[in-house]
Amino acid sequence: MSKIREDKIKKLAAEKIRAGLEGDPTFIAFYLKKYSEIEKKTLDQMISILGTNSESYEKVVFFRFSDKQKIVELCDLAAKQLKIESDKLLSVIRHVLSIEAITSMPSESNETPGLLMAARKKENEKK
Amino acid sequence: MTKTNPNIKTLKHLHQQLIDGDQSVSNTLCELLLDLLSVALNRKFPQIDEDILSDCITDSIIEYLKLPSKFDPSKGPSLDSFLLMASIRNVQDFSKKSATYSKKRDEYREFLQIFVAEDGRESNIGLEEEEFLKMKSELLSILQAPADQMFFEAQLNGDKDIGVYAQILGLKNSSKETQKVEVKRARDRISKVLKRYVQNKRR
Repeated sequence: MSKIREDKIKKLAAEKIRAGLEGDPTFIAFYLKKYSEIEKKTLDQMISILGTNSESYEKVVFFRFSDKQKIVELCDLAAKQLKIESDKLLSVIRHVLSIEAITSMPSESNETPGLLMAARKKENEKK
Repeated sequence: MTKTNPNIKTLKHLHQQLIDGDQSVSNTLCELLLDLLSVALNRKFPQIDEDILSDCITDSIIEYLKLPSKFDPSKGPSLDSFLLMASIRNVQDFSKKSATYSKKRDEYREFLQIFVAEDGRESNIGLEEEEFLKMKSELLSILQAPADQMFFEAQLNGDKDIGVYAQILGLKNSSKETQKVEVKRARDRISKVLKRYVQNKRR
């Protein structure tokens, strides 16, 4: 009974850790998960995109990605330590980063120039 | 989790590799930690739900993976003991929070039971969770104004601070005396509306 409970705790924790890494932008898991969602890729397709195998894929998700300035170094490190293609990993991460950057833009930023222009136009008309 | 466990040595080695920049060991390290922590936590807290224990393990492992240098092997405990302590702390924190929540929920219950009882005779009748939530949402729906709903929610939460109610009523800048009078007035009014509803329903 105790063994069953231990296994259940372990299984649950493993799933939650995986989900935790996928929800945390300081881990590569986050970018791989996002990419697979955006591009609608299965796990096998993701493995193939990165030119790797399932074992290396399982490991690369744990890589910390705390410094966005060192993205190239990180991909090179992953390639050095695992069977993974550096440039492919780099393009996946960059793809997600650029989409994240676009979607995180505040909506006001699109409106502000328009509002400013309208205000200036009104001001000029008065003059 | 004893010192003779071969996993302990492996853990120490893997931790050092991780610190030296070999991130490919994180997965293996995580697997080992899961093995050790799930056994230890299960033994220590046999009465606590598996889901909660797994949450507590998850939090401590993720924290470690984020910043492995936080663990210093030269300072004493082994990595598994270090994370076990963190997991135990998480369980204790959870238990504290859960005790506070359950106390609050009991207060809620008591409040509602007294509130809906016609003459206090029914106040000892226990309410089932579902029944309790149903009653709460039913009473909230009677109060149409959002401020009244928030006021009643605060009452159910057991808030005793007049400032909370004054803020809901938009009287934050009024004098203490005015707040007191207005809060009492609102409490009586809301109570009257709800009691009337309950009485009509019983007829």
